[in-house]
Amino acid sequence: MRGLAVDQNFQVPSVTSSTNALVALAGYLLGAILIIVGVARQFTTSTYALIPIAIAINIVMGQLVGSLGLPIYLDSIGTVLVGVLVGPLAGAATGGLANIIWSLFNPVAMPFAVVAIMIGLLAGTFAGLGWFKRFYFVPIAGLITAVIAAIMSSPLSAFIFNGVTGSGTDAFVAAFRAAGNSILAAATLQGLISDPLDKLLTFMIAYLIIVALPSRLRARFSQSAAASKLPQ
Amino acid sequence: MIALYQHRPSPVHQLHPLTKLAISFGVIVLALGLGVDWVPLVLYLLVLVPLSALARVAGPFVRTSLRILLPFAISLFVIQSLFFPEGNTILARLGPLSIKAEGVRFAFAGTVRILLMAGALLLTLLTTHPGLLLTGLVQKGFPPALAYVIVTTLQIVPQMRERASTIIDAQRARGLETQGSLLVRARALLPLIGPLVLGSLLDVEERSLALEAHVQRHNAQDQPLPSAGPHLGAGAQMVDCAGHARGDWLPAC
Repeated sequence: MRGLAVDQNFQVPSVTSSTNALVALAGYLLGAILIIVGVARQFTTSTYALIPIAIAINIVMGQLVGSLGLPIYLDSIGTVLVGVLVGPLAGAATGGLANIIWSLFNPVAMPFAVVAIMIGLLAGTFAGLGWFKRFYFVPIAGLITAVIAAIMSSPLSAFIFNGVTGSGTDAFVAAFRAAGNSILAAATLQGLISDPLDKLLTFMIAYLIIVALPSRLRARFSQSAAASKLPQ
Repeated sequence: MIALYQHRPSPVHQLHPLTKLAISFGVIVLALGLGVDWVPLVLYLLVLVPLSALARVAGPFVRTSLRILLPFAISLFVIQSLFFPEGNTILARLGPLSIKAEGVRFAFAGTVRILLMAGALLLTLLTTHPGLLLTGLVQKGFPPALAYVIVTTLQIVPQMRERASTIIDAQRARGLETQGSLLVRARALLPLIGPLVLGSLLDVEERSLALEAHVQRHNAQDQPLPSAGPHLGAGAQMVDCAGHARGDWLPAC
């Protein structure tokens, strides 16, 4: 009986074999490319002028926060801004392109493009529902986005990166593994702990920026339907 | 800012960008598809490193791939060899913790997989100018508007970084602390975000007016793109000009 138990345990690591890594990589990458190319042809020139600035805000803010040594990322403020100001599809394109540009410097970021797309899409969707009109809905939108982003990125962490992120938050992974969780469960729980604070702050900062934005500029980006759903 | 690109006269640099991209993804599919733990390491050492040597970028190639790998490797070996509830074969005991053979094997498999994926993509990125890569993609149907976004972003990031450091210096001169406890550093962020983000967004209007004027003169979609030959394509030139105008660091272009 004891031999049988050992054999069963040997099966567990092979659940996250490299074939699964290939399936996860192909699925996530292909999906991201199709979404980015699919939404690209319908934006106005103002949107095309806004997206590069938004991506640069993502990159520079991310580096600034990293250099201050804070335990958050804040590397999707631009994505959320575009999602809220222009709409879900523009937010999705911004997230995806930001990730592609980021992977020109660090190629292991590439598989996570779909997660960035989802953040922009959700920010735009919540704005469309009118959640950015009132201050108290914004943190809730950030928390919901964080939960969905964490659940989306955990299969990538688990199957491609064998459960780690290569950052300080891996201490959570160690704790959950020590408690006997599977790789996928540990990666998911790690995301559910470390993402909410980051996304909550990202959404609130984006909201404050939109409030401070001159109305002339705000009108230039937002489609008339979205304009009434922004804070006055 | 031209990402990781290293300019060298080499046969690998002369290849069409999409050929290199196909090689990169082909190597990744081969390495992961075979499902054997050590295959990625063999492909990295016997295919990618020789190719990078042929491209005369072996130094930056190995250095950059190890720099990317290191944080993952540390996390993997520490976490998965010490905390691997599925494993039973104990190699060594460290007080209450034990190193398990299955965990070490799992960490090794993950480490070499990340090394290979990073290495395969790095080979393309180190030997292909981003502008040239985009030109190649646009020729095969990638939307030109998206190529514009990517090239423009690569130009804006150094400008915005400069703006950020100017703002930091100005706020420091007025007594802002950027070092100290977590709370002090978090508070330092607030007077930086506002001026940086709002200031950059004000540039958008100018940029979009210029873009609208440009689009009215000729429809960008109908423009034939220069072939991806030995000289750089339109996108590459845009990036180059931006770099030279500011006297930025750039390898001989």
